[in-house]
Amino acid sequence: MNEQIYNQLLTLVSQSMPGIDTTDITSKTRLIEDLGYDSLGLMILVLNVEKAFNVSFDVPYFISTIDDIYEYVINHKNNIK
Amino acid sequence: MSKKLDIRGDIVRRKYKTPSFLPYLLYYVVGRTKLLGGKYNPHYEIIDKLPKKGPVFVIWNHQSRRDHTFICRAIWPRRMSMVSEYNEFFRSHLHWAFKHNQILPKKPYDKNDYVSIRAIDRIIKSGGVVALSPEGNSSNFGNNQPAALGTGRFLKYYHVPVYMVQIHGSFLTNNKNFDEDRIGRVECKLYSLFTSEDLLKMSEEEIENKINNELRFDDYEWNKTARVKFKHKSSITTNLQDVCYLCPKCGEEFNMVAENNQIYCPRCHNGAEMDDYYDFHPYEGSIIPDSPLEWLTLERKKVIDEIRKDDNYSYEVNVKLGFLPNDHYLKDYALSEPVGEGKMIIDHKGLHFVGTKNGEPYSFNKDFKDIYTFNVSIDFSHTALYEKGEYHDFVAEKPCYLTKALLVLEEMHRLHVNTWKNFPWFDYLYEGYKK
Repeated sequence: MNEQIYNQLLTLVSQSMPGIDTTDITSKTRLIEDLGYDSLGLMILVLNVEKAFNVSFDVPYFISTIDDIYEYVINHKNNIK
Repeated sequence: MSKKLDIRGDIVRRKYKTPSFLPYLLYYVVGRTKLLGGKYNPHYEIIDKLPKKGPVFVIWNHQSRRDHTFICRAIWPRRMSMVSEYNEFFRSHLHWAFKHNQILPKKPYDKNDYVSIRAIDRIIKSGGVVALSPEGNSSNFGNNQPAALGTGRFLKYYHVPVYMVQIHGSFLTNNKNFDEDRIGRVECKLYSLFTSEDLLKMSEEEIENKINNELRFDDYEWNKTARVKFKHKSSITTNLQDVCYLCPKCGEEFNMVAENNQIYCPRCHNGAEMDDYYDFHPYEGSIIPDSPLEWLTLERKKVIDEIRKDDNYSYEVNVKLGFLPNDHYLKDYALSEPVGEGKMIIDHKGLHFVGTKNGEPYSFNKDFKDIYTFNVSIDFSHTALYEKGEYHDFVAEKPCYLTKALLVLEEMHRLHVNTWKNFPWFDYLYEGYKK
């Protein structure tokens, strides 16, 4: 796992939804069920991830966990900023 | 060689924008004629006009699948991007109009729908008008249901002006018992609901409470005073047994018969005739609620009683399972394509499906935290939900089995989670039960 990308993702996860408790977050943490994310929160997170990693969520992709976003970034990034 | 169709991918990749003037003008003009909106005898009261420029949300009490034409007329000359159900994008008779009118996709009641919010975000950030129904679905029974979870947070986040179109008569024009246009009268009132400053000042809960109050309607009750006669070609009670499935006199379920403008129980002969105003005229000695909505409330009360008195309560329905295609559109007004079958079970632990998909075993479980109602697109012959982002369409042998499933699901959610609360005016339904 790329620690730099993962840690940056964790920061974005905590910034994209107000009131998130980031303690005990792991890559398997579920955004909706465990962190209380909703569609609006996910959209903000997706926009932030697109900007930070120069990727585009332009294919149907189901996001459940932080791992899912990490996988998408790794598989779709053109270049890391 | 033509490119292979990828409907799901197109929905994600489409760069949603305000509809172009010419196709929208065509839609508006046709919408005013007797071909479309004009035939429903609509009347408009414009109290506050939309600003000429800038982002706006338009919300309305979603009564029927005909509402879009009334909203379009009420807010003219602003052009709107209307939010519609995701599954409708897969239907062959709609996809062209959806594309050209920049309809935005939404998976109702799915918390994991960032594609929809991103589409809305594009329109609002470009200064456009987004029309959406906070209830997430057109009315199932003739009244409003609570706004979908997250509505207050969503409007507060954008804090752009919100206008309301309040509609009466549209449910009685075209309802979920039977998809037939019944011409009577529709009333629409457009007014400002929230300014940007209001949304910044108010809490998410205050915003949702105000929306729920403004959305409040009961079309049957409205017509007790409006006295609009609705013309119908078929029996006015066609398929009413799908909603009014419980005999209020003998208590038998799923055996009511609706035909020839009447509804009755073949077991005890309890019944009524319904007139062109949707008023019941009970047979002598019959016990019939004041309206189909009151009837539904009676059924809801029975469901509440059943689930709150029985810790082992379980409701099971045999269903066919349907999915959406990706490389072709659905024809003949279909809502999905059959992929399997199984049993839908709702008990105190959640909603479960056990069965098959494409010949393989398939099952899933949903917690009441993650589901609180079904998506009912046309009528109760189909109810749907989203599991891992995929549309799951259920068809039962009798539609009324799914009507009861919807009541059981909503009341199980309210018993165990209750984030999607019923309205305070229904508090009496829950009195006398231990928490």
